[in-house]
Amino acid sequence: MSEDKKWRALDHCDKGKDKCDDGATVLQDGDQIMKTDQQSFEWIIIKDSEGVDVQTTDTQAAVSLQLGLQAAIAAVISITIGDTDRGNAVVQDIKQVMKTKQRNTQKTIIESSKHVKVTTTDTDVAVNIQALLQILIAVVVKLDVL
Amino acid sequence: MADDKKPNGIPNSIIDLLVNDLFKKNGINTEDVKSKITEDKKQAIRDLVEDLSKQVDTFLNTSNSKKNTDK
Repeated sequence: MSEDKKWRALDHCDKGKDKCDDGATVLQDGDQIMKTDQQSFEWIIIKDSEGVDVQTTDTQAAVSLQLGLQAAIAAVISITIGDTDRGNAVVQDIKQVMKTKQRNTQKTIIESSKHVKVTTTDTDVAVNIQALLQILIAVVVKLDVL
Repeated sequence: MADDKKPNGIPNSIIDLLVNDLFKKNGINTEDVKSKITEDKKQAIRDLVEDLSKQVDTFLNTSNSKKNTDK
């Protein structure tokens, strides 16, 4: 089979030889390690590889920060304009603007590799968070609070 | 590649335009609103904004420094 000719990171690992037993948890068997996050569907697939170092954006932190900013905007509008139809309409309009960039998809596949370092940055999330803070500050400045 | 570039974000002028438009569109008189906000509320909002600004700074700097150390 052509499979036999393919280099595999763990081919040289024999059971009992401690040089391959570095304590790392390795899932092989043609399996893949997948990491999927809620909002920005990030997939990192590592196959037949060893010594792969992955550094990715902390999406959970980003998502909670996004939610915090959205809640803050709604709270500021509610405190200043009041929980009125007008206030709610403003919040709805802001939400419409914020909805435009909610999804990011990136896939990284590492196959048959050794000692690879991967760093991914979710640019959309970063821009989104910046934009939310800008909106919050703009609203607050407009109402002479800052 | 695009992933090498730092996100520039949206210019503040556009955000201001957007917020001005949203207020105008919904018939909100900012002068009227300003006069109704008490000092306590203002302080609470200032604290909130300051706290969130710090969190955003920390988040963005962490992402950038990770990138820089990689080069």
